[in-house]
Amino acid sequence: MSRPPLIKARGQTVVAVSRMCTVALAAALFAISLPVSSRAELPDNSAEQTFKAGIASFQQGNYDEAAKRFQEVLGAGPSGDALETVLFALATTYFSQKNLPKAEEYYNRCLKEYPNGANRNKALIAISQIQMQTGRKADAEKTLKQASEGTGDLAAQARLARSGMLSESGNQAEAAEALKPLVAGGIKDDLSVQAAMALAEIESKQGHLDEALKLLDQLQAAASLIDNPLQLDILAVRIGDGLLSKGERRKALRMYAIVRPKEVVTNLQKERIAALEKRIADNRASLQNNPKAFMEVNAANARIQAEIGDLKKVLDQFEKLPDTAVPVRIRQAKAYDEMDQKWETILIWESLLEMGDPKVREDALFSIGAAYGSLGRGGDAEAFLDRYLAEFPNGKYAAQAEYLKGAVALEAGDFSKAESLFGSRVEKGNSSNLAEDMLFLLANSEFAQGANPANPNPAKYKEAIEDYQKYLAKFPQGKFAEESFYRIALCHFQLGDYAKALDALRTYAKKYPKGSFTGDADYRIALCYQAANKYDEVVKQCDEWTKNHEGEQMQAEVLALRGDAYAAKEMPAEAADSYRRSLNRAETAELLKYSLMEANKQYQKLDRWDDIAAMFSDFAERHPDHPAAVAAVYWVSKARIKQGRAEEAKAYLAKNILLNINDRRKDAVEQLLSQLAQTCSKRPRPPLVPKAGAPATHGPLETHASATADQSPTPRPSPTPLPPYDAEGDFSKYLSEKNAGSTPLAMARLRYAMAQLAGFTKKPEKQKELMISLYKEFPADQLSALLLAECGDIALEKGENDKAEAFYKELLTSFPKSDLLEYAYYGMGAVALARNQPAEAVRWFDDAVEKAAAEAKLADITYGKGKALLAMGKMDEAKKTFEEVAGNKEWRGEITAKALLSLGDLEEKRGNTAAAIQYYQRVFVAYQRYPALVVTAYLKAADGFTKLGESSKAAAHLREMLSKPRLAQTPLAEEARKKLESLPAAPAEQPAAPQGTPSQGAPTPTP
Amino acid sequence: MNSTWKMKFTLLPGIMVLGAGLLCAEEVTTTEGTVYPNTTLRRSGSTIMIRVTMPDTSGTVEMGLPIARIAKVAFPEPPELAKAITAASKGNAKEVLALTGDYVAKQGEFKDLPGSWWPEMAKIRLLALAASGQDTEAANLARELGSLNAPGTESLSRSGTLLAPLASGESEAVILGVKGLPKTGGDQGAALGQLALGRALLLKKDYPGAMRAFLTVKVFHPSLGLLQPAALMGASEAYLGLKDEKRAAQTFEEITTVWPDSPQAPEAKKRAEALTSAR
Repeated sequence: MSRPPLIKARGQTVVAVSRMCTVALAAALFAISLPVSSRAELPDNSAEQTFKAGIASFQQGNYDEAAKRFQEVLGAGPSGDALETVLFALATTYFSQKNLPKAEEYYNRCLKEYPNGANRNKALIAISQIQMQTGRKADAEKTLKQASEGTGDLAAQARLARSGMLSESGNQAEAAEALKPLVAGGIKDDLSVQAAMALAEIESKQGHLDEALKLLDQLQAAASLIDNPLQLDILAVRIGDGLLSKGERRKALRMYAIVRPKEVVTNLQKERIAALEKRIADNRASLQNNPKAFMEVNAANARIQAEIGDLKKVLDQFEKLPDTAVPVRIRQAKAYDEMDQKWETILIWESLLEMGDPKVREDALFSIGAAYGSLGRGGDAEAFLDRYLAEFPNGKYAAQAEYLKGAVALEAGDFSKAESLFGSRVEKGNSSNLAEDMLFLLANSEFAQGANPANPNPAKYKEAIEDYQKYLAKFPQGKFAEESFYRIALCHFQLGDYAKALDALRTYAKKYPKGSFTGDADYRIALCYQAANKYDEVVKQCDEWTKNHEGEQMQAEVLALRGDAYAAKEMPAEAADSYRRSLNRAETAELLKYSLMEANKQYQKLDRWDDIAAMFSDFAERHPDHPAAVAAVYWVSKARIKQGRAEEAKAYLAKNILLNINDRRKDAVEQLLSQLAQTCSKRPRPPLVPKAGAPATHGPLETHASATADQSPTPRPSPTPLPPYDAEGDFSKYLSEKNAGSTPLAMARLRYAMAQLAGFTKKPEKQKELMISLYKEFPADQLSALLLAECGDIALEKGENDKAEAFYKELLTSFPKSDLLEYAYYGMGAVALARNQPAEAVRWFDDAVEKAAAEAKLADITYGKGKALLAMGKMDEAKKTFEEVAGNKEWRGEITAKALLSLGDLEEKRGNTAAAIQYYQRVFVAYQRYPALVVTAYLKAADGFTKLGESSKAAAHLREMLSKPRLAQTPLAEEARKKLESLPAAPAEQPAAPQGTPSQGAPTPTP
Repeated sequence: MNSTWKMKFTLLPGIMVLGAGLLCAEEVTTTEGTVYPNTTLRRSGSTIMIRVTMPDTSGTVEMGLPIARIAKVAFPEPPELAKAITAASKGNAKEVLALTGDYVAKQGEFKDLPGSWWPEMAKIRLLALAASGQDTEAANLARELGSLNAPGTESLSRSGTLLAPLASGESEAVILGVKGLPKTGGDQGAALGQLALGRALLLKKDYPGAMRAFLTVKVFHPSLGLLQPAALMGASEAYLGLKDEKRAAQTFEEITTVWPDSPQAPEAKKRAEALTSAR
């Protein structure tokens, strides 16, 4: 698309100057309208009357009469300020009469006699106007310079006018310097707006685009002061274009954004005019209160009227012009598109669509569709492309739109849709330059349906073969001919027709010996033999491949295949060797893992633990971020233990831990810590079979091993009791503050490991204490993902919501990809719930499922959501959710008991106490393992009975609870006792517990 | 009249806050055109008590003027305003809040006087509050601003009050409220409305809708520095919701590099790093 034309800026400076002139003269009129007695000393009363009559004539536009009156006053010989006033009044009258020589004469006289008089600047400005109008530009500029040396508005206006003249005469630098003082204090009034506009224009002309940009930013912020928005738009476009041509897209975009749609600008201008008209009316109305202000009000209204005239002129011109915003928006859209900011591109094109200009509709619809396509949003792309095709079936982008629709569907994995789109276009007999592409992509979409792992449809391979063949028939030398040949072979291969595949692959390899897919074809040839169990041929083909394609990308795959062939031939040494070679070359995570684990199997068959240790050790070093790296460290340590080198194994684990102990992003550290703790938790055992020549060691196995067959059996001495094993001491030999360092993360991890060790050595209290110290002592932003999840949970349990929130937030923020995110989402929900913000809690719980695909915490999350729904009064939804928890067999346990309790609470809230009691009874009948919940259930059931007026049943339940020693010791037991005492005296001789299960005494629930 | 005319030239150099409820003004102009220079003001209901120095006697006299009769009060511009504008252009909401807090709190008494700087200070503070996520405070200030019926504050006040339902999670109310506001046009209220809309849609997990709203602030109101980092932060969240981590990371980085002084920058940095390392 070519750049659309923009309207041209037209005489903006002239408008500004003429406006200035109007303002100056209005100011002059205002000055002579001031009461004479305030400043002038006229000879007598009659002179004063004559002067007033002159002013009145002037106000009425009767300049001849005014001049006559002022001449009369002058003839009376005024002095002092009065003389200055009269001279100035005469000059202004002649100026209004267009009698420029006379006007100039009297202005000059005024200046000569009163060089520092009150009217100095007004006179200078008027003279400069006369000089301009009589072609004496240089003189005018000098005069304005004189005027601008003073202070006040008039001096500023002179400065503005002079700068315009300088700019017109090409003296941009001096023009800019003249303006800068006017904007130094910010843009606060009409004058500074005019100055900033002029300065921005001059700076842009000089190529000082950054300075211009700053000014325009300021101007936009003061948009309400700008009465010529068109001028601002033109400036913004000009500066934006300049920036764009310099490649400064971001800055250009800021400029373009200033340009507003025509309708917006027009309305603003109309509002501004209306506001000024209201001001005139208000001023007139004020005369009723203060008739004496007639002259001032009239002068002010004349000034406002002139301003309205200017605004209307600008509006009139503006309304006749095309909308500037359209070409500007197109520039914006292109710039965003080039920056790959597709959403921004879409927004701009949508704004163009909203403007309703039919000329841009075609471009807009297609561009939005294309942008959505780039974003991978197939549905949105299709909607816009369909709209495009419906409105412009033969439009300039019609073929592209069809193609794009298919390509988007293909990209989105909707292969059948892609097939249908490409198919219908191909059937229609597409003659565009995209016909070749479409036929090839039609076959590809069929191929993709065959290979779709989610829903494989092998029959589609056959259709693909047909369409690839059609392609080859139609475009034998086409750009996709080689790939079509190759894909036909692949289709046979995927169909399991290895004979045909072998033929096709060989044909391809022959036709394209140096083709793009030759390596892959040769590999698949070997695979065809593997499928036929011809392992010797596989090995031969693989070796051939290595000879012909040494160093190519697929080498690792080929070596793994060679390993498979040897493994099938029961040749573990050769197989292990091939897998090891594959491992050394593999790049993908899957192949690395496959070759590693297959080699491991073969080595185990050979009992080559040295090789296992070496392989895993090498792997862990080379691929520290691979998911199997932790397993590798484990296997190395296991191999060392197998070899009787437990100390070495632990040292190896510690070494790997220390490598990353200060990197909070390495989740594996905690796993290794746990492994080390577990290894250290038990007394090391000596190897089952001591190595040959190894010195005898202590222990029962050693005794057994040292016994020889030919010796007569002697009574076995009792083994010497071993000293108590010090697991912590053993652990600290490998990992302690000494080698882990004292960073908060290292210390926290060490503490975590000690807690794990306490767990493995069955010291739950110590484990708990250590974990609590973690959340109390370490700041969230120093901890790893696992520790954050742990600390958050502990803080939550302790009721420290703010602290828990800090841990969870840190986990969400710093570990957006962590597998532990579900803990954070759940925790945030639980915190919100604790803060009585159930709506927010529901959002977090939903996020846990939708964003973090929760598994481990799913039961808690569902239960939490139920609680939140209950708190929101959404009874039906809450009940459904609790029932989901209670009914899930996989979750059966404490969470089920909690859900039942909540169901009881829900029924209680609904006023259905009998039904509530049934739920509580289910808890203490079926979930005795959770005493805290059971006690709560008893208490609630008792309350329910009391509420129903069945105090004997309430008492029976409480007695039953207190009769169970385990429950009678819980903190809530005291409450139960008090309740029991407060109940109406139940017959003491009655059995303490209700008969059978307490539920036998339950009332009939309300349906 | 004569004395008034002369008094115009005896101006006070700057604003002087005399104490609770007292303020100096350069001059007070009534709707009849009378000018009282060099005054001290205090408020008494809907009347402004002005203390004027009498030029002839050098004595002072206090007189009451109904607010309706005051055409304009020429208060000197508070020096914090220019600083706040500079901070705002850098997206530094924290500094804007620090600079405007005192003024907005203490000068509220004169906020409805024509010529008061309070609406300007309140407007910039409102944007800073919204940018910092202090929704309840922002909504309260927006209501206060709206009660003035001052020109140029209506749409900002309307969009600001939408932050109240946002704070309580009532996204539908925000969505409905924004419909009455313009989307573009260079108006601050339009931009704030889009920010509120984006956040409401984010709550509803309408990520494409939220994206449009946030990016409207970026695309059509780029010079509104205060709202840019908050809008970009929202856009990043929307990108994450749409599983476009690449653009999310780029947007977090944009906040860090283009708006380093914004309240969002530290978190954006952390999240950009986290996303980059996760990739």
